[in-house]
Amino acid sequence: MNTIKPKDDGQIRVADITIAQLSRGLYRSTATAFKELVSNAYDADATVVRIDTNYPEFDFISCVDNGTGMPLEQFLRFFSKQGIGSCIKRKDERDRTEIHKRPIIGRLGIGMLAIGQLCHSFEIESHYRDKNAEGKAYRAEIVLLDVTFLDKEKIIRNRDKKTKDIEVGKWKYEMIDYDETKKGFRIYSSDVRLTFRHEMKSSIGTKERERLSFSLSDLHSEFYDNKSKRSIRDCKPYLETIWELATLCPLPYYGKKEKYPINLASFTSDGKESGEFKQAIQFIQGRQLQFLNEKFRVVFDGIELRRHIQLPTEGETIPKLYFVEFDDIVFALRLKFSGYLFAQIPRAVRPLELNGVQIRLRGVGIGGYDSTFFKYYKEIETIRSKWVSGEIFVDEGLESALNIDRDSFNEHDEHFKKLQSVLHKKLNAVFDETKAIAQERSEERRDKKEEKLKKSMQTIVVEESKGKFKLIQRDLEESAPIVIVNEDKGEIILNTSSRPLKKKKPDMIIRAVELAYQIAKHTAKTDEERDELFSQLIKEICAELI
Amino acid sequence: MTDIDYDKDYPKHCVRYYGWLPASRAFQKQIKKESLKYFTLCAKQAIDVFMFELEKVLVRDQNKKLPDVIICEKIPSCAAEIFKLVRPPLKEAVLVGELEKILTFQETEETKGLSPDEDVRDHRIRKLLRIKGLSERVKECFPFDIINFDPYGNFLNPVQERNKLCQSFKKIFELQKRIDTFLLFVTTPIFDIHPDSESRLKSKFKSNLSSHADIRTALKRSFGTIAYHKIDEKKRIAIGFAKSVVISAAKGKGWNHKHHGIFVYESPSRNKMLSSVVQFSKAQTTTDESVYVEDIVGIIKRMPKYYSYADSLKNQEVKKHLEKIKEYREKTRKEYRD
Repeated sequence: MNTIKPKDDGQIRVADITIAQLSRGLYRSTATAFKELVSNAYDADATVVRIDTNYPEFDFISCVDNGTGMPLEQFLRFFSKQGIGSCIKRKDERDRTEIHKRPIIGRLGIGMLAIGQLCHSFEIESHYRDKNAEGKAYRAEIVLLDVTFLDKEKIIRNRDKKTKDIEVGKWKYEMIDYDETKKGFRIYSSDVRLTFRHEMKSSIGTKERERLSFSLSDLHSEFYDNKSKRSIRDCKPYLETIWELATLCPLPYYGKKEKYPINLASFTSDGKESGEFKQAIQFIQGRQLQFLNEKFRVVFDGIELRRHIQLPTEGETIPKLYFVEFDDIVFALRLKFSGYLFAQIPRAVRPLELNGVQIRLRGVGIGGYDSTFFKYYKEIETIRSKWVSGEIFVDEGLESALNIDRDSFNEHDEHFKKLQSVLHKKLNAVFDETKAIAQERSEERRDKKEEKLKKSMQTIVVEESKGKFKLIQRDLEESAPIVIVNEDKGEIILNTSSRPLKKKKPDMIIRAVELAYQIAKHTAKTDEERDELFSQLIKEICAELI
Repeated sequence: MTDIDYDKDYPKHCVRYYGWLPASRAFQKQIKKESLKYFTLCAKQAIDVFMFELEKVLVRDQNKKLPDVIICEKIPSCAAEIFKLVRPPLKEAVLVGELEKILTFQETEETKGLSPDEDVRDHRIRKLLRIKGLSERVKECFPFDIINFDPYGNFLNPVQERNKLCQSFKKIFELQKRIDTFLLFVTTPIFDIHPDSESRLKSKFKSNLSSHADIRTALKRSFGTIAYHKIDEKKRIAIGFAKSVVISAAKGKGWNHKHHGIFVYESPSRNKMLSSVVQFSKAQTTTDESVYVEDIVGIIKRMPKYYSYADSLKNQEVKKHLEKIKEYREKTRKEYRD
C-alpha cells in the first residue's frame, strides 16, 4: 500500500551518505585544502601557523598554530556527538574572534577534515585554557576510512536497509599534560596520501632541489622575473601550491607599499591625479595596514608567506587603476564590498592566474582569480580582458552564496547577482576606457611608424639615386599613377592614395616595387646597373616596410 | 625524555662542548673536508646542528642551504618543532619515524612485492610500507662522517638480545662500509639498567681481565683493584658499555676503534647519562687485538669525565657557548623572514 498521504509536510534532511563524502575532502587543490587549516588557525586567534610538508620527500605533514586550541568538548561534539559540520564558531551573534576581533571565517566546521584530502590518518594535539582558565590538553588519533565510489554505490543500492550511521573513520583520544609553550592546535600525519606525495615530488628534480631557495624574495623572483613563465603552472605543483595558498590566505602583500601590489612608479603624474586612482590606492594601502595589524603569519616549509601580487606585470604599458564600491541592503541583508580593478594597456597580465577578479570574503580568497570576471560576456573573448586584474573585498554579506567548498559561489544567490552586476557595470567603464586608450595608443604608434617610414624612404631615395631625386609622398587621385617621375625638378612623387589591390599591406608593397623600379630606371646608366639597383632598392625598402 | 628543555641542559652541553665539538674539529682536520656529512637524532631544539654550523663543522652551500645533514625524529610533535628551527636552512627532508624500526626493517608476507610508493587501503600495511620506504631512503643516505646516535631509548634495558636499539646500532656499522673512517657519538641512560645487562657488563669485565694482562695492570694502577663492584659505578659502566655495546657492535664488521672520550652527566631530572665519542677506521685485514687493548687501557686511564648538574650550572664558559648557539639559531630563523 502506498504510504504517501495526499497531503503531508515535514523537514527536509540530508542523508548521511552526503555528509560521508566530506571526510574524503572536497577541495579543488592542495592549496585550498591547506587554506582551510589556515582559516581555522585564523579563527582561533593564532598569530602564526606553520605548515610543513617535509620537503623534498613530502612524507609528513604538520600544521601547528599558536591559537586558542580546540577544547575537548568541541572535539567530542565534532567526532562523537553531533558529527562533522557541527561548528559553534559563529554561535548566536558572534561574528568576530575573541582576542584579535578578526572576522570569523569558518561557518560549518568541516575545515579540519581538509587534511583528509592529503592524508589517510592524522594525529591532533590541542593545548588550551578552559572556561575557568585552567590549562588542558589532549591528543587524538583519527583514521579515515576511504569511502570509495564502490562503497557509496553499495550504500545507495541498499538504501532500504537501516544504514543511518556511515562510518567514515575511527578516532581515539587521551588527556595529556598541558604545556603553555604548546598552546594551540596541532595536526600531524605521516600517513600522507601518495597522490599528494607524487604530485609534489614531481616538481622537485635534482636541479630544482639545488636551486630552490627558502627566501621570500627569491621565491618572488621565481614567480615574476622569469619571462618564459606565462603561468604559475610553469613553476610546477610545489611552487604553484605556495603561490596559490599565499594568494588565498588573509595575508599582507609582499614588498614595499609603493611597489606592491601596484607599482606607483609606473603611473604618470597625471595618472596619479585622478580621484579614482587616489581612492583605489588609499583603499589598497588601508587593507594592507589592516592585514599587517592583524599580525597573522603563515609559514609554509619555513617560508613566511605573503600575497605575491605585482602590477603591472609587464613594462611599456599604460596602467590604469579603478575603484569599486557598494554598500546597500540586498534581499533584506546588507551587502558591502569594495575593491580595485587594474588594467595594463596593451599587454596581458602575467602570470595568467592573476588575470581576472579575485573575490575576498572576510579577507580570504574564494576560488582564485576569475578570468571570466564572473561571466562578463561583453569583452571576455577579446584580448583586452587579459589586461585586467582586480580584487574585491566583501566585508558584509555574500556568505549565503558561498558553496560548501568555500571556493565557488551559487550564481543564483541574490548577493552574488548584485555583486556581479556592480562589477560588470564597472567593467563596462573599464573596458570602454582601456579600449579608447589602446586605440589612441595604436593610432599614435601608427603615425609615428609612418613618419619614420617616410623619413627612411626619403633617405633611401636620395642615397640610391645619388642625389638625383628626392621623394615626395602625396595623396593624389586614386586613379593617378603610383609613381610620377619629374626629372627636371629632381622629384619622385609617390601617390599614397593608389590602392591597386585594395588591401593595405599588398598595396604598400606594390608601391614600393614601383618606386624601386622608377628610381632604378631613371638613375642607372646600363641595364646591368639598373637591375642591380632595382634589386638593392627592393631589399632596402621592403626591410623598412616589413 | 621528550620534555627535557635542552636549551637549559648545561651538563649535556658540557658533553657537546668538551666532547663532540673538539673531536669533530680534529676529525674534520684529519679527513680534510670543508663540511662534514652528519646524521643526528637531535632533540627538538636541534642544538647540535646549530653548534656544528656555528663552528663551521657543517657549512651551508652557495644557495644558503645546509646540505648533508640528515635528522631522524620519531615523535611527530617533535618533528614539527624541529622543522620550525631547521627549515630553512636544512636541505634534506627529516626522517620522521623510529630509527630502530627503520634500520631493522624486514619484509613480511604483507609487504613483500609491494612498493612503498603504492597506496593501499589497509592502514596497518600502509604503516609497514612507510617504514619500508624510510628504510630504503636511509640506506641511500649512508655513509656519514659523523653519526650522533642519541636516541630516546636505553641500550642497557632491556638486555641486548631483546634490545631493538642495540640491533639498529649494529646495523650502522654495515651501512657505513663505503667509508674509511667516521666519528660516532653514542648516548644512553645509565640508570634503570636491566639486571641481565649488569651481569653481562660484569662477565665481559672478567673475561677482559683473564685474556688481557695489560688491561689487568691498567685497572690495578688506576683503581687499586680489579674487583668489578669495588670500582666506581660510573667508571665500570663506561668500560663495560665501551666493551660490550660499542666495540662489540663494530668488531665483527671490520672496524677498528678509538675512544676519544666518554662522558657521564646528570640530566635536569638528575638521572645519569653516558655519551661516548669514538672514531672508527676500517681494519686493514682483520681487527687488530692490540688496537682493542690500547683503546680499553685508554678508557681505564682517562675516562669517563663527569659533569654533575650543579657543577655544570656554574660553568660560565659552557653557558656562554650555549647562549651563543641559541642566539645563532634565532638569527638563522629571522634570516629568512621578509
